[in-house]
Amino acid sequence: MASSVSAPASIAQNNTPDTSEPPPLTFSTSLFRHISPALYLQRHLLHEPPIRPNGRHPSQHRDFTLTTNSLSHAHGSAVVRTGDTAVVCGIRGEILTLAPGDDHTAFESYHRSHASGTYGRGSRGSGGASWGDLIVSNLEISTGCSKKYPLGPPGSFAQTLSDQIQELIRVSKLVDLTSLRICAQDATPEPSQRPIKGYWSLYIDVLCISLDGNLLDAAWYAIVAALRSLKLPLASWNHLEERIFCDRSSLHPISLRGNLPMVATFILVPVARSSESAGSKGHTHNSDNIILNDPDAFEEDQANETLTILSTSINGEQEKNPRSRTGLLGTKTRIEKIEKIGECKLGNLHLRECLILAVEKSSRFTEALIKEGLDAGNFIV
Amino acid sequence: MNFSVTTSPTSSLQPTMAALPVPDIELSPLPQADGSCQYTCPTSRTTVLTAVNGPIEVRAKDEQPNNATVEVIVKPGIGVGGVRETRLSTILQQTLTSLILTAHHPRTLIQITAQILQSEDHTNLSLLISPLLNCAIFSLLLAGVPLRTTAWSVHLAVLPSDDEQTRDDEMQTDDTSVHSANIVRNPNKAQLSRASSSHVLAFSKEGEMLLIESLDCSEGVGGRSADGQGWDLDEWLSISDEAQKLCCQDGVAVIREVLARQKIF
Repeated sequence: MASSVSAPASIAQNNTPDTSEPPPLTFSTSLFRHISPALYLQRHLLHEPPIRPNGRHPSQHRDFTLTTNSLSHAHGSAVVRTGDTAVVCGIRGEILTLAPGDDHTAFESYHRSHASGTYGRGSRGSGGASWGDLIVSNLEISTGCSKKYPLGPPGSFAQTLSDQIQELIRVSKLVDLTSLRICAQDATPEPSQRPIKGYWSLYIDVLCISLDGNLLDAAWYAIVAALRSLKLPLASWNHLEERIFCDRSSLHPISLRGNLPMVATFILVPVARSSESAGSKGHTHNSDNIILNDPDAFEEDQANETLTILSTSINGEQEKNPRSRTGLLGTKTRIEKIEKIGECKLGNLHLRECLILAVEKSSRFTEALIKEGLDAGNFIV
Repeated sequence: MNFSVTTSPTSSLQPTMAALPVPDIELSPLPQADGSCQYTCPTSRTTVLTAVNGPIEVRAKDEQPNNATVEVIVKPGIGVGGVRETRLSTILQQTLTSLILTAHHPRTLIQITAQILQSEDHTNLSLLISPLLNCAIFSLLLAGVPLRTTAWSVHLAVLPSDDEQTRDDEMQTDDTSVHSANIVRNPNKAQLSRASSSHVLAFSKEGEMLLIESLDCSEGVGGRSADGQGWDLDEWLSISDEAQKLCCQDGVAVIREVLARQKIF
């Protein structure tokens, strides 16, 4: 920033001692960033128009690249890179055979309440998944992906994210659990009448290979793309051997939701405006906090308020007309989860603004999915 | 607390609650801690115990030159702590840090330990956050930790409008709006399992939004049947208004009353 750099130190030293003012303390921009990161970020945001140290506008998210099916051993996989954050997601299906007498409805519902005590007890597993969940997710932060997270067992950051992802899967109900059924091939014409012999259970593993902030969004996008690209072998019940057999030659996708729920993360950074500028412009209390869309690692360190929104925008005519933003928000955007932690500067206006940005970001991701040939139309089972 | 419960008083799962119950709060149950509190949620019967120690000496790696370090440890009611407890302590840590004037005790540690004593569902975060947060705030007040302000948290569940039990009740409330008729305050597990969405919100005494944990919790097989779930922003704002009213009026009244009862402040 121009404001941070003054005359080089050498000139200041050459000044004659008769000047009454002491030479100003000067240092380079990169040094300023390390000495006082909070002030460094603030100076950028006070600039007109505000610009972030990484060159983005506050409401601008990073562009992302998406590659699917790059892992040959996984049933579905995706690599997502947003800025310098890169994640790999691999999904593998495993067969869960039902024992006679098992209550299959326990498997086919999100948010079910356990009727019996045994389920309640069993649900206290060590991982984030509870008993009977057909979808098990885990997130790992690989060694060396960031300076902040050294070698060792998963810290609180990785654990928190892992649990958040598990919660996102549960809340969004992304996967149709009935499409994971493995049924006996009876003569019964109605597929829904066939006895259920087992289930596919999906193991979703996310590995962060490079971390530069906002891991949750990247991880979620990778999961959605991997689920879209997921192809399970055809499993069938063999009467003679009383086992489930897989046919690797015929693969089928699973059915997901029609409107994909997307995650967007924002941080709120306080900006201490000098008194005269705040007075002259008549800024309200709210405008002293700037929302940064899709924060990078440097910005995340400076923020203590984080907002995550999971929302769906229903594809319709409104989507094609970007002018009708308010109409889009009022009727076509459904929020499924809001999480806001830390500090207390978020106002309702901020929330509205963030929702608009979240819709923009998710439509951008849908475009990326379509480019990969993974649009919703191809996958109606 | 002046709750007017919109849930079924005839429900077999809970006792009749005509006049609404103040949370069961016991101050300083632990004599050795700087501040401690045991809190029982009146409706969900979630019981938690928190203790605060601080300012105490901080481990060298956690030391911050200008601020106190706030550490929250959550002990589960069953088994050993896992991923979910870590998440819970992260949520509490960040919320409480914003309340504590950490600059008053630089290079020290304020340690908050929470033990879940009883809960209907130990795996459900939303049933646990609000009692833990309220209890921790009492403990912080008793420990004399400088706070910027006090706060209160409520858990609201929105039942679907065609919910049988809600309709059977026909509770006579002044509020005729559709939304508030279906909002249950501090729901228990049975109510939560019928709810379409669950909202844990915390507000400071001044009405600032401290914490939002809102999520859709309707039951279903997922896939296309889940399309269109969730809520509009306006719906959410009306819920948040309701929560703000509860926190800033009733919540603050409870804090004041409980502390006055003990002749503490």
